[in-house]
Amino acid sequence: MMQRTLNILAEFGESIRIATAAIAANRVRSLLTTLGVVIGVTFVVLMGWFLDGLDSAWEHTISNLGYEAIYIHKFDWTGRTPWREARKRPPITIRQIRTAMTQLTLAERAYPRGNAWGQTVRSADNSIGGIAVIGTTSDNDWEVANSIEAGRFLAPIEDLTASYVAVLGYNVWQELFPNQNPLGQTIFYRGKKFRVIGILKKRGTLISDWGDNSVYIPFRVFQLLHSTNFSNYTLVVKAPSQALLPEVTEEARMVMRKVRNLAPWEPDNFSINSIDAFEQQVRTIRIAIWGIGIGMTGLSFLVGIIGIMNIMFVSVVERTREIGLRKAVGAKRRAILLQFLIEAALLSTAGAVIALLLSQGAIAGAKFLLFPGDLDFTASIIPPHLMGIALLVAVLVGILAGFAPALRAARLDPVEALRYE
Amino acid sequence: MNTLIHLENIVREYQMGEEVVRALRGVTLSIEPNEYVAIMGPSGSGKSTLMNIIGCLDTPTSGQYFLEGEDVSDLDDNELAEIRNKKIGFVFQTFHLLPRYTAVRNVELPLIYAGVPADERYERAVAMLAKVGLGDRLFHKPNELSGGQRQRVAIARALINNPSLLLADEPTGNLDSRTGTEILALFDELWRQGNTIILVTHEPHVAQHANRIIHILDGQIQKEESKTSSIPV
Ligand SMILES: Nc1ncnc2c1ncn2[C@@H]1O[C@H](COP(=O)(O)OP(=O)(O)OP(=O)(O)O)[C@@H](O)[C@H]1O
Ligand SMILES: [Mg+2]
Repeated sequence: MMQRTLNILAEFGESIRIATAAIAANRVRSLLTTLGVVIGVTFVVLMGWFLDGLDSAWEHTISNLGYEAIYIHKFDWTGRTPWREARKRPPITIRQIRTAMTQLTLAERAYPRGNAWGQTVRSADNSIGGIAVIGTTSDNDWEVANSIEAGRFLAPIEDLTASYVAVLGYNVWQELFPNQNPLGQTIFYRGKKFRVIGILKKRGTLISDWGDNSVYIPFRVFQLLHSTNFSNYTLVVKAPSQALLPEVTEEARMVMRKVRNLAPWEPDNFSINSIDAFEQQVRTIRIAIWGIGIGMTGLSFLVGIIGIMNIMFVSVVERTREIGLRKAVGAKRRAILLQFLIEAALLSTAGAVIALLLSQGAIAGAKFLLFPGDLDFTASIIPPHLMGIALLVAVLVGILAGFAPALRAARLDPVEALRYE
Repeated sequence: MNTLIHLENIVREYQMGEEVVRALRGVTLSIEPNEYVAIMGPSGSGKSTLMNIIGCLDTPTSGQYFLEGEDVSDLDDNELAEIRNKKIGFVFQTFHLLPRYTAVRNVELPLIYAGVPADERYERAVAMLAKVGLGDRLFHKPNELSGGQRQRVAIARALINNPSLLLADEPTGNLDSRTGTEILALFDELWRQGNTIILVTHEPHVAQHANRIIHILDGQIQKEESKTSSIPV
């Protein structure tokens, strides 16, 4: 047993020395051979890197929006009901929302919200356009609970009394009050003065960074500032827990159908939006990336395996006399097999190392060129688990590619091999 | 049983398409420890075939081979490799050194497959090279050595495992006569130290170094000559 271990150790060390020497002696040939592996591993790493980024962006989004809430709205966020059709639906009125709120029994909270897009707000010195002004109540506080930079969110009394106060998203206060404390300052919107009571941290999400380009004001103030036929109201319903969301959703649907006087055979004329819908989309993106990625990767590895197998067969032929000599002085089949398997694995691993360097370069480039802004959740260096996977895959590819040539070498007849010219 | 080698009616045939080439046609032969044997015969008579079987590189088509009392005629590839590693040292006409390895690394090779740890391997290889007169050429590669020096490296490699048997197939065939003589002197010395040596040659003056000469013709032993002692001590 002890002797066997010593044998394998000695053979292993010898194999590594032979392999490195053989690869070093044929650098260009080795490099070309590993091209398939290089491309394959690069795909795997970049794909994994991007999906990791997507995942953390998604997690960030969830933490901003929450799984427990649904947003009942005339339009569908993800286009399951096309906008063209949704446009024909009757508006969701404030009266409907108020009525529905009194009839919901399962929800933890329910409150109205109005979004006005493309607005402009001003401070004494600066102005910013393309802003979402959101009219809502203090019940909306959960959505920004972890994002208060300073001050506070809207209070219940400020909605009841229609106070002219505002909570500013990150980009808004950065733009309007670059060098001063925004709290207590005045902003102007639709000719009215608002007192700034709170400012938010940067919140960019996967879906968009509009959270950073928004201003929250009390719902009743929003109502006063917009015409009576403003139809872009939302009923936000939040379940006590994610588990209860289906029931809460079902109840909300029934209540909305009732307050909108829908007959049993008529379809819903409103959309129930939730983070789930986005999750479907993220999942679709993931699957698409994987699909393309696995196809490309598989193809590259196939090319890689064929390339390495081919060069290993060549190597076995070139070194026939060496194999004969090694067998003549006592190398068993196992030792020769090991020698060529290790050479193939090392060749493939060298390809993986090159691929890791290339990927790191590509990642640096991508971060510089593609995501200079808020939405980048990708890592700036290759995560260790991806390196591990890349190297593991490379070793496996090498062993797979090296097996047939190694077996041929191991089975060579020593007399014939020594005589080979 | 004291006999080192006992061959009993060894036959080796090669299938060449339809035709059967009979390289050995019933060789019976015994060799005792510390004999110095020369095998002679014309080209194609079966000398190398016989050496390969004695060296466990090849197995007979029929007949039995006992090496130190053990029947080795029917062993598999791996078992034969182990016997070659432990009991047999080969010296080839064309040296068969690994070109990218230094002298020391070439000599270490059999010890690697015997599982000897690296530092012990190195020490033994250095000592063996000194013994064959190459103590000052340890780190030369084969192409930095003369033919005679290369053959000395090969002899050191053959001896590194303390084999029971040293086999040399035309060891001076690729050397000029002066270098050949030096190598033969080394064999004589090794024989005096107790090694058993079998060498193949077709040069009579080479065979004269042995104390027993076996003549082979057409795959059979034709005649034997014995000398009580080889060249004068
Ligand atoms: N692999 C083989 N296949 C077929 N025939 C073979 C093979 N090896 C040897 N032979 C034949 O067996 C016979 C003996 O060959 P061997 O190599 O033993 O001769 P030899 O005495 O060593 O000759 P030389 O002095 O030329 O080296 C020859 O006729 C040869 O052609
Ligand atoms: Mg021969």
